[in-house]
Amino acid sequence: MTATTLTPTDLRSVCAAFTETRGAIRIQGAGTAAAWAEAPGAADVVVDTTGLSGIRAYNPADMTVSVGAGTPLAQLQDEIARHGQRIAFDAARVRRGATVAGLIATADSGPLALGFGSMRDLVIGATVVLADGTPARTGGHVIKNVAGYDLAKLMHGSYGVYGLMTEVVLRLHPVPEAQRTVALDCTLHEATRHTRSILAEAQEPVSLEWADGILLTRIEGTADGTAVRARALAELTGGRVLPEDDAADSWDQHARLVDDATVRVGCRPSRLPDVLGRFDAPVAAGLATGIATLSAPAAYVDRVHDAVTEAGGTSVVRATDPNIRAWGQQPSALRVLQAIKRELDPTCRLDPGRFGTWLGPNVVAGAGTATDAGAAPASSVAAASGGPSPTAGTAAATAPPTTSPASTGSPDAADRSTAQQGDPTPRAAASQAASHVVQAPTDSSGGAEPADSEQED
Amino acid sequence: MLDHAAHKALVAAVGTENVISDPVQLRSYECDGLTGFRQIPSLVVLPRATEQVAQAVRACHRHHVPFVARGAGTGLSGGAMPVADGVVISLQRMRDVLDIDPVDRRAVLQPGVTNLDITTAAATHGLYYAPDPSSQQVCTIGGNIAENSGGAHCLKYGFTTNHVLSMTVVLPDGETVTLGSDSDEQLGPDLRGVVIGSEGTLGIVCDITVRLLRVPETVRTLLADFPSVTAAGEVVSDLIAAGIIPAAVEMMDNLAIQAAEKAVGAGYTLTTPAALVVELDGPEAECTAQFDEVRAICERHGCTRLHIAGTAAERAKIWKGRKAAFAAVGRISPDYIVQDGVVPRTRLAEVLNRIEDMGRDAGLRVANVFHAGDGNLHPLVLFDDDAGELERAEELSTDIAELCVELGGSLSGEHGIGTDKACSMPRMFGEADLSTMDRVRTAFDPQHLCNPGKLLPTPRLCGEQPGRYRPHPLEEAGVIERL
Ligand SMILES: Cc1cc2nc3c(=O)[nH]c(=O)nc-3n(C[C@H](O)[C@H](O)[C@H](O)COP(=O)(O)OP(=O)(O)OC[C@H]3O[C@@H](n4cnc5c(N)ncnc54)[C@H](O)[C@@H]3O)c2cc1C
Repeated sequence: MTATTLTPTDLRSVCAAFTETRGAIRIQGAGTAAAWAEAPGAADVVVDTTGLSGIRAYNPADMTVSVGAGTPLAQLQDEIARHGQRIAFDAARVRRGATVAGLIATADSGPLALGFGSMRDLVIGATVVLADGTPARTGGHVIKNVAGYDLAKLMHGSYGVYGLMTEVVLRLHPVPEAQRTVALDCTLHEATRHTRSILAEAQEPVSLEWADGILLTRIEGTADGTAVRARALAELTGGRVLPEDDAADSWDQHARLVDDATVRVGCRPSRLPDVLGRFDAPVAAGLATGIATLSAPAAYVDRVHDAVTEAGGTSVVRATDPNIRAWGQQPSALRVLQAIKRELDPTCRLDPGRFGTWLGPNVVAGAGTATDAGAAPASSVAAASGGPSPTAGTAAATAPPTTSPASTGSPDAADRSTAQQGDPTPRAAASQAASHVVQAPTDSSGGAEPADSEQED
Repeated sequence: MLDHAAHKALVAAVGTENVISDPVQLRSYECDGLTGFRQIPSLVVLPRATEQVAQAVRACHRHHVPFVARGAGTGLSGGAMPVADGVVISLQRMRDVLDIDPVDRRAVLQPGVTNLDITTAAATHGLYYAPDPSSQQVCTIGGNIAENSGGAHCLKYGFTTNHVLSMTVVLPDGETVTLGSDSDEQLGPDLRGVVIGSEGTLGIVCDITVRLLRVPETVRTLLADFPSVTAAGEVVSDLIAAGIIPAAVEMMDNLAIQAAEKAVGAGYTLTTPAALVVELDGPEAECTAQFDEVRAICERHGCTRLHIAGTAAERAKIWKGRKAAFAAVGRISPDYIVQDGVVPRTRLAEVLNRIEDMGRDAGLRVANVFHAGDGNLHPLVLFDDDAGELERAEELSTDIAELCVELGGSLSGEHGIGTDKACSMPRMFGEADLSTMDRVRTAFDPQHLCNPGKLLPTPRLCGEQPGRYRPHPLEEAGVIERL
């Protein structure tokens, strides 16, 4: 079974890749997480994002950068480092060439998450192409912005089932003058105790990870300041301040440990040690964030899921094995995820295999799933199109994107026939108008008064 | 008017003692902080528990009654303004701090807890809740989530969205779900992040778990005067270029300073053209060195007076002046409009010059208070309603917000779109962008009952052609064409 691989290089050719093809589409970045979560399903079309690469707009003084979504993050880091800036993000697979959009789509993060959060906290804008070829923007180019829904968040952790990110705007941080790491050899149990005493101090670590027998605490700041703070931390825990090279090695080892993981878990930080303690597997654990990876053999992953679920946490596999469950818990708002899928990709063209049991064609396109009488069935959304439809026209006017046949393992294409449908066109303004039944205020021209001063601070 | 069955179902949902139907009392719910937009609701319900919220929403859903969630009503974009023949669901009777966990450093809150009460409850553990809108004594965490509120310290610490771990949400059909989890690890797409900042249009947020931070070891604050707004702006650029991320950098122009000084006497210089408040916080070992650098940068740009807060009381006084600036403007003008827009920081000087020109053309004064670190402006358009200046003032204010978009920024940095700016949205977003947002809204709320008419432009509110035509940004970039 062969799939066609398209490598669009701009927004226009991405839209065309969606509107001028038929069948199931899989979005592919650098492939560093291809095996994570649910195994991707068989695809008729593979859209490779690596052609969407390079910096689009960068003004260092604004500390934001707009970048093609398929740009490897490591490459972007190199370019902005010349201006003393960085994306404060260090998931292990960045070293292996992971793309910006791939890191967002998988909700990945690294040790710096303690200080700076994950990609969701750093993305300030995105352009996303939906399955019907609609190019939609969300956010913008400024760090502070609350206009409209923050749909970049919807893409975070979406594994490519809601749309393809073509461009992403990220907020930047200065490269700190100095980083220092304090290391302490200890058991997980001891590390838990030390974590509490470290957090009680005011040293503000940006990373705090126990990696199989060693607790690594990283701080950032000025050269002088970090020297004082690192000594204080070493005294507090009985650890040692690592020379620069040793620190780099230790974090590299940590990243290799994460690379080998088969499952990633998250729960309340105080419950994490108990969960991890039940398994005799190599572990990298963020004891302050509650996020850890385990390199448990496939046969044990189910038990990890169960243990984490029991602790109220979440878990997801990082290695494809059709025999193991991909996720521990099921999301509480699964019905909303399905309703969004129905709105954005009603025919389930985008990777019908991912989240198969949650968002696959059987669940989403299946009859009678609309829980609400007022919900517009997918077909009527497409049929109601009356307004101008910029994307459909655009795609027709463009040259087809570069194509090359590629071979993909496609053991089962049976349930894909449901995905074969005509191009849905963007939703019409008319249907929107009809559903807004509520009247606007009638006295909006009345006198404006200053906000109550009693609300003042 | 509500029909009898709907009325009965709502009373049954929350109990008679938690319903307001007296016309005089209903009046106090007719608007939020943006008092120009008013609408008296048919009914106000004040649930005391999440289950009652769910019952009330189910009743609305069953009887097809639109509803609007309301926190403290301090919103400045008409987001909590009721809709005609609709119900207001006030969260003011759900004000319990449910849990403070000093080990996992988080707080569990009912939606009506005020922003400041979180920090007050956490203080005994040396912890605090970072986002700090100026309205923090009154505004609720539920309202903060709806608006993704920021504060003076969000340059370093981020916005509401960066501090919420999870929340239970009553969906527009009355089902209760949990979004987010006990850690930042996600189960699929981040719906928590979609609902935060959605201005009450995707559901009603109930129990909320937020992250708490350790109180920083040191805080250093200075107030510096400058010969021009431009000079003060250059200081901000140099701070950033030096790799310093202050906890806060706030700028005020002369009009704003005069107003604030008249109101609270915080010790600002009445004659200075511009002033900056710069605050650093963090480990002592870092702050001391960086604070010296900040002083040097200020001096390099012709700082005419530099006042360093020596005590907590002095620091509080500097902040009192800054935070009083909005309402204080009432001292120098009978009426005013608070605007909220964002430009890329590098365009601050340009936007200020343009605002000055526009004010001159309109014959109106504009005072400027802003979060200079992230380019978030709060121009205050001064006018006299009795002199018939309202319309001109509203026009100028809208033009300023749209100018921010033109300069590559945003219509709003923290006050939201609400009713106020819905018709400006086509200035910032193209048709495809807005229709995609509407699809997501429909997924949550197929009947369009949840705060309808807000956030996205509707033909009824904005006319058949929402806003003036503006090419889609992708068209401008030559990437797509309108055929
Ligand atoms: C003097 C003053 C200073 C201000 N300073 C700042 C500032 O520095 N930074 C800033 O960001 N904002 C500021 N604001 C704006 C305002 O205080 C914030 O937007 C605040 O978050 C609103 O909270 P509230 O409880 O008053 O919400 P409301 O005004 O009652 O409601 C605001 C919106 O939230 C929705 N909502 C309320 N509760 C819920 C809930 N539980 N679930 C779902 N939706 C809900 C409402 O429907 C409405 O759309 C200021 C306002 C004033 C008057």
